[in-house]
Amino acid sequence: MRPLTVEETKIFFEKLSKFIGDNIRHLIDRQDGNYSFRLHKERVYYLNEELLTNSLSVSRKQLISVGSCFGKFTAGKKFRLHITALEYLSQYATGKVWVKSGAEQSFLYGNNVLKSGVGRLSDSISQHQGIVVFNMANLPLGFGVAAKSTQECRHSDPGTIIVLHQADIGEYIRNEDNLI
Amino acid sequence: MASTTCPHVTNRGLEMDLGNLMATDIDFHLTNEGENGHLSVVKLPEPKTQLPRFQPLPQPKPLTRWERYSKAKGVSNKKRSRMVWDERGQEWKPRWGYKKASKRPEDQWLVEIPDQKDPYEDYFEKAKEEKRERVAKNEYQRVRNLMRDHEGKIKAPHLLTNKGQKGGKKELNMMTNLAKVSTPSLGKFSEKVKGEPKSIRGQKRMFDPVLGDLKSEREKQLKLLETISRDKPIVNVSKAVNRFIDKKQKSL
Repeated sequence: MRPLTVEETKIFFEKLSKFIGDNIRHLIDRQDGNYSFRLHKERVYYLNEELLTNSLSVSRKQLISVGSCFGKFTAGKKFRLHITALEYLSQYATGKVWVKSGAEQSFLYGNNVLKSGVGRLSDSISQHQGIVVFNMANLPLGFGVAAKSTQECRHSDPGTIIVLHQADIGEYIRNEDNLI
Repeated sequence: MASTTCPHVTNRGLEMDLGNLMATDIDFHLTNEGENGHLSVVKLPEPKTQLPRFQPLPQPKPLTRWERYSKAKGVSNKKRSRMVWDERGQEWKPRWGYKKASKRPEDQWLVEIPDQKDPYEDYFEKAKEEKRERVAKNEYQRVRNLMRDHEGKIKAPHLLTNKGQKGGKKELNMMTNLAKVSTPSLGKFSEKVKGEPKSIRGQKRMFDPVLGDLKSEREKQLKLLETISRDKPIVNVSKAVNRFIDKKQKSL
């Protein structure tokens, strides 16, 4: 486990800012404890100081996971967000889409969100912005990328894709091996 | 060739059909093998031009030790079949190579140790060692035979085996890199060759300690955030435009 280098932090923050924009400062600077990001086996973990000091007693080979895993760096040094980051993304998301009950199932199975499934959209979403998907009971379901801006969405056909699926909570069952 | 007597020679004297030549030249005779319909078949003479040899004719190689022995003894050259019947597996297996039928101790997965033998000895290692010795002995005898047969003619005896040599290019690179560093100042002042990397060793990376000063770490990250957000425009143009369009449509 080690802190992220400057380059890695840059790539990571740029990815995060697509979803939570400037709110990353709320992740870095917190009133209820000293939280930090650490890299272990190419995965980025978010943990507080107490957990960090305790985890130092575990050897690197035996350490599987610490704190919350935000995602991992791929072989090409790009950062990929995992569903395990949803808790924080949903809190600070800048772009939100609420999905109707019919399309909720579809999204949880890994499909994209169509215009027909969209209940509500937050105002002024730009294209390619990171979107957190909620159901009508305000439960975060997952996240994705906006295929259309809010304006375009209003004037598009019911069949067009609005949110491109990236991760959903159904992955906890489908894909649990890769999530640690 | 350009004969004035020949009626088919043109002005330039070179354009002459071979067939016409043969047919009309009085002095030129070929045995007429007979008529084939309306065609007359003629046998052409053997070519007389001798092409010179580039290399001299190869000398017959001296017989090897085994060849001499087998010739003297009269050993027949029976070809061995590729497949052998394996009793245990009840199938045909190759005599050599991949998936071979082998009863050799180095190919067995189990070695039974009889009562008299030492139970603490590694029989697998022993079998491997014996195989290595056999291979080495065979190689030694082969090279010795070659030396005896071609006495005086061998200029590079170390090349008779490929046992002492490693992969040529790989070893060459290794030796070059070693030579570069084998100076009193460990290669610091050796000549730099154009196109070669300065050092074959990769750069050693230094990371911050796992539990360093968390406060300074946070400050650095916030600064980094600032630089990232500095690159983005303060006013989100698309957002502003969308809002404007929105207002307009609502007012309509």
